[in-house]
Amino acid sequence: MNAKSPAFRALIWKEARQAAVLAVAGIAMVVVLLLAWLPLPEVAQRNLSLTYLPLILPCLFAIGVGTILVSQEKLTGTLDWFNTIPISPSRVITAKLIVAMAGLIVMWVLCAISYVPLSWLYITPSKIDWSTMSATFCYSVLFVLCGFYAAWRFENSFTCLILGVVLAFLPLIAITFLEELRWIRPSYGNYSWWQVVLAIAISPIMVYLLYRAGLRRLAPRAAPRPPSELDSANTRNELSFDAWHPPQPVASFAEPFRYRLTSLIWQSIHHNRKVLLGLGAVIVIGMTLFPIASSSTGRRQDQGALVSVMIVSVLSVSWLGVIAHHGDGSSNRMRFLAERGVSPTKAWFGLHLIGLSIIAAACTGYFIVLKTSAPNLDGGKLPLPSISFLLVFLLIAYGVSQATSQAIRIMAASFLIAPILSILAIGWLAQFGPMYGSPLWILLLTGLLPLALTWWCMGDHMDGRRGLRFWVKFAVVIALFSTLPFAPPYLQHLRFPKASADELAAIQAEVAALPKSRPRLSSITRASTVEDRLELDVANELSGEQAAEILRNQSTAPEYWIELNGSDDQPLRAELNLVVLAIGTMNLHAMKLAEDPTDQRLLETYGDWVKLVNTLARRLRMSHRLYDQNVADLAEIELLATLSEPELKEFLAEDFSAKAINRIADRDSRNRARRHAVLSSWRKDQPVTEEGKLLFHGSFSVSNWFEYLPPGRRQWLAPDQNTLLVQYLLSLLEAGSDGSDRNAIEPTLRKIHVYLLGPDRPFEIGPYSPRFRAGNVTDRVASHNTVLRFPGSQWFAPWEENAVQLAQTIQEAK
Amino acid sequence: MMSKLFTSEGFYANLVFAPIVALGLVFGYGFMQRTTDSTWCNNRLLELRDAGFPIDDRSLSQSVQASTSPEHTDELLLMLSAQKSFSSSGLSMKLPDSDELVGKDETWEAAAFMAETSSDRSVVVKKINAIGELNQAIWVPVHFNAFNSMLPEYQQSRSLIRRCQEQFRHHFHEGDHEAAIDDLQAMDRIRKQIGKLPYAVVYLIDIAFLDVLHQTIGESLAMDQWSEAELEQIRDFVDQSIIGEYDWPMVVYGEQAAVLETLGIHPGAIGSMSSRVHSGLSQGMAPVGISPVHLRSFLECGDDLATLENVGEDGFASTIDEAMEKHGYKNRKTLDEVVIVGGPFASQYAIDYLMSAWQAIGGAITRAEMTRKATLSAIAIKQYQLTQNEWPEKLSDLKSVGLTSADYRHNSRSDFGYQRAQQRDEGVWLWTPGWIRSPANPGGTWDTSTVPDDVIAGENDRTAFQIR
Repeated sequence: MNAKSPAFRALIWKEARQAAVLAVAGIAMVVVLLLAWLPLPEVAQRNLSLTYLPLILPCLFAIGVGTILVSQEKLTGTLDWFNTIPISPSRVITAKLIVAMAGLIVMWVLCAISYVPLSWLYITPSKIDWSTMSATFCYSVLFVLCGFYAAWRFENSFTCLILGVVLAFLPLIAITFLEELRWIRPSYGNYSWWQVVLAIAISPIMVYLLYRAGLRRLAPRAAPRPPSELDSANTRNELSFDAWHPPQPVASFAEPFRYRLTSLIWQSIHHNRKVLLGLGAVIVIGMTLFPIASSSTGRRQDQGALVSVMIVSVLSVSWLGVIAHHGDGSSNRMRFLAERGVSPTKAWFGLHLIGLSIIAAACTGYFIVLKTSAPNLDGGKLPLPSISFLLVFLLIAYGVSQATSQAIRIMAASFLIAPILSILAIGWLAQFGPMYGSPLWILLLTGLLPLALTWWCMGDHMDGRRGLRFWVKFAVVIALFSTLPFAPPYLQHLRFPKASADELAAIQAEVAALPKSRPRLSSITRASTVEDRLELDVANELSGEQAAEILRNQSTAPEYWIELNGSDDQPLRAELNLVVLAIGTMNLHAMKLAEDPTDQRLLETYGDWVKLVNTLARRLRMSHRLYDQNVADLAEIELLATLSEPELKEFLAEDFSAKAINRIADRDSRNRARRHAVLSSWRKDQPVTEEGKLLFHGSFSVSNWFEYLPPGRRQWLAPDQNTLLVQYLLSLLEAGSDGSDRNAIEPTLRKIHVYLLGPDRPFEIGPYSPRFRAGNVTDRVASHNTVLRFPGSQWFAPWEENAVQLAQTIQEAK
Repeated sequence: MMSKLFTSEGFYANLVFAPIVALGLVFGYGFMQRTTDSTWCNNRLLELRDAGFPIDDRSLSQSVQASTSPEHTDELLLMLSAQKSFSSSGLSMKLPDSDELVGKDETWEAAAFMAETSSDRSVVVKKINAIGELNQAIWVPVHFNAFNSMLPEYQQSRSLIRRCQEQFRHHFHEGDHEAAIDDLQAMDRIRKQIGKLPYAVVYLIDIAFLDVLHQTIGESLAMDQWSEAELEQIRDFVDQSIIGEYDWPMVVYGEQAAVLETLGIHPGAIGSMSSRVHSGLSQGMAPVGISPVHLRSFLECGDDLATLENVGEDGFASTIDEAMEKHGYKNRKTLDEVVIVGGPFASQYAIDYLMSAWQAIGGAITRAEMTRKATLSAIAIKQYQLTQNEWPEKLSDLKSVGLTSADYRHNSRSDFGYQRAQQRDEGVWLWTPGWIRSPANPGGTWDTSTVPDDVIAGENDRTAFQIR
């Protein structure tokens, strides 16, 4: 039989179809990971880099192909079928190996191709590290060969997978160990040259070994020897299967076959005794070592080993879930139980109680170690999980894995996909707490859904039915898993105050009436003075006399220090630092004048700065930006407070004072300017900036608002928050414009406080409380940052009324 | 028998159920513990509130309002505003010796500059002294928001102290000692005038003000320019122990309240199972639920700290360390309390992250009191020299000028270091334990030949004065 014979081609075709399942699973996984990763925030994307995403394709295939092509056939019994057809065992082994290697090359080609679009999306780097890639290719070949060797050599599928991976890793580990000892140095990409050379050198040996193991496995089995008189009764029964030596009739069972839960547990244990023992030991040991690994006790190298054990133990929990539905003979056993009327619920418990028991033992062990040895451990580097969190974490990993294994009947695929899906599921749920404020109970409930799913599907699973109903159940639970954590925050979002349609329409109408074009805002800049030139020219030190000379030549006039650009009737854009400096300079001269009211030069300087601050406030009021209105409030409050200083009252009759007071007393103009700015801050096509978040409102930084909401919910608010705030501020203007009743505005102030700072922050200590409003307890405002972060916080405060009264007083005095 | 045991279904079933039952018992214990601790924490917070201590932003605000008055708030705000002006202060940064204290008749590069700008500073000093001593400190309006509370007024008040210090240097160089003492008085008063928030950072700012005052007085003693009467006046600024000024329990509970507010913990809501993972930690901290077990440990630690005695004495900082270690808050220790039913992670880690200020403030109070005593002793040494016409031979000689032994020793450790220079005009040296720097040359090192080795080997945050 040559290689082109129809039988060989058929064999190749059969193997290719089997291997294709793994290739499709790999592609699906890459797509799922990509779809899960793309919506993540930028920070999370940076932390979870997908640089090596395409490598999943060849790596997954290399690890699983041996198990798929050999172990799976052992499980289904089709391997023995080869003995019945006229094809040599070596051809069978060759066909499987050819398909595996061809498949691997196809996966590498797909991997290389997928780098191109992914690099366009900046997911993977545009420049490929060919050294690392070619070394990984050599290793992937070794993984295939080791996987085949283990698959031919051992019966248990799970053992084959684990041993195949371990065998392939041995050369890597050995070389790493030698590198640690500094025996070998040169590197090749992320690998060392020795690792690559060793992988290539071992590959032919593995081919020989797997061939030999394959030939042995495919060889006809020896006939059993006939029983001898020396054998025990049991052995004689086991050997007496031929018709000439029938077994002794078995005495009737003392009890009929029982389907008690204890029997099912017994069966589950004995089907996978060694695997369960191994996984259980790894999980319990890994979890109990957690506190020690987290502490700084012990050496760093030891901790690395401990962390590795912990990672393996978490992987083991996932594999524990996989073997629940994939243990040796599990599907046959389920069918057997179904045919004998065992309820799906009882069978489900029989499958899972062992896994749950191992998880419980791990959590209990974690608790005992923590309770007994914690006082002897130094400070931890990692925050330790609570017992409840650890339990939930393990249950989700186990639950997702067992659901994966119920859905995917190929063990190798489940073995590789389940841990990844578990991590994705945990990551998915973990983000809802901090991002959306989902309650813990809903996260817990969602986490347990995969376990409920397999219980729901247990009847179909036992009967081996994979119809539409089975997959619909899966789809329903996946949909619930994806949406349930959103439910509570979304319900809260729906209850969040919003502007009504009527209010929205009213705002829209007013905004439409605003002039389409906005006047250009002029800037406030620092004047190019001697000091500025000095800062540029003199890098180092001045002599005392030089400094004094500069001082003597400096002017105290405002124009020497600050420039208000544009014409006098053009609006200004607030430059807070310079506005504060201007106010400060005015106040400094006010203090100096108060000390010596007879000094005409001081009076003149003081008057100049009052005029400047007044002009600043006036031109800021012309601005359409809401933020500029708040800065204008600040300037007017300071101006009024300074002009009203007892020591300076004698200068109220001065022209500069009277003009400033009269302007501040003009409530109507101020309120018109505020209303214009409020309406201008509303935009139907609100500039949606980063990731759908609204970053500015009327030039206020929104990052200071809504801190009481989780970040995810803040994003949901973005389109609405603009309208409602505008509506509140318009209500405030309407309530306050009348000026007759101060109490009328407090309810609106409270609403704004609750809206921006949250219902839990007491109004009395917030920025809108009477205590912080100028003219109540103090005439000035403390903490300019507080005033300037919250729109309207000083609107209709007593300072406005004080300004009116002061203007009247001046008028009467005249 | 053994083989029968290992093949029996019951044995395997028991083997499987045993860990589940064990974990159930652990959780039962956890729920009991959670309930007990939640109740304790709720009750304790209510007790603290009833006793007048802050437990959240609201009570913090109330306690500040109760202990302050808004009578002079506008004047304070005016002074603070005037410090942020288009002035020539930027020039002083370019002067080589503007930060030095120079005696009369000595050459001072910055003298002309300081004279030109004197009027800007003078208004501040006069305003502070005009406000005078207050029965109730000045209320500063603060928008309380846990550790995000806006405290710019407290930060900016540093500039007031600095203006007073510059004015002192100017007057001292001009030989106008009366005005210079007024400047020192303003430095002493302004820190007492501003109402303190019970936040550790505010107390640390206040201690920094004290350091400036003590350093300024100490530097002036090296110039041999004060008269006996003037020294008597200056002595008043450092005569009183600062320990009485610091309400230690209020510092502890104030800082504790800020931690509780940051974590979103309020009485009545502790231990609620409906609590969200997203707590008050919205400012980039890890989202953790705070377990009542750890909250109790935190509150007990606060109680232990608040009742500590010997505040400000040597060893006080180490006593704080011991108290915090007892409750597992030293070296970021996270392992001494096991959370069974609670948030995702050991919440002690989060609390620990927020509470390092206690150790800082404890150590700062101790150091500030030691420096005050050293300044007082230095003044007394100069007074002794002026009255006796010779330097004291030993520190115990200072009893004749009214000092007690407690004034020139650092409590349990030892007397301050004291040494007369070989040349009479070089005066004497006084240093606190652990001193390393030279006051005459802060950037350089001390001439080690005149100071014992064990002193040089000490810490570098102590004080030393040369008195001439």
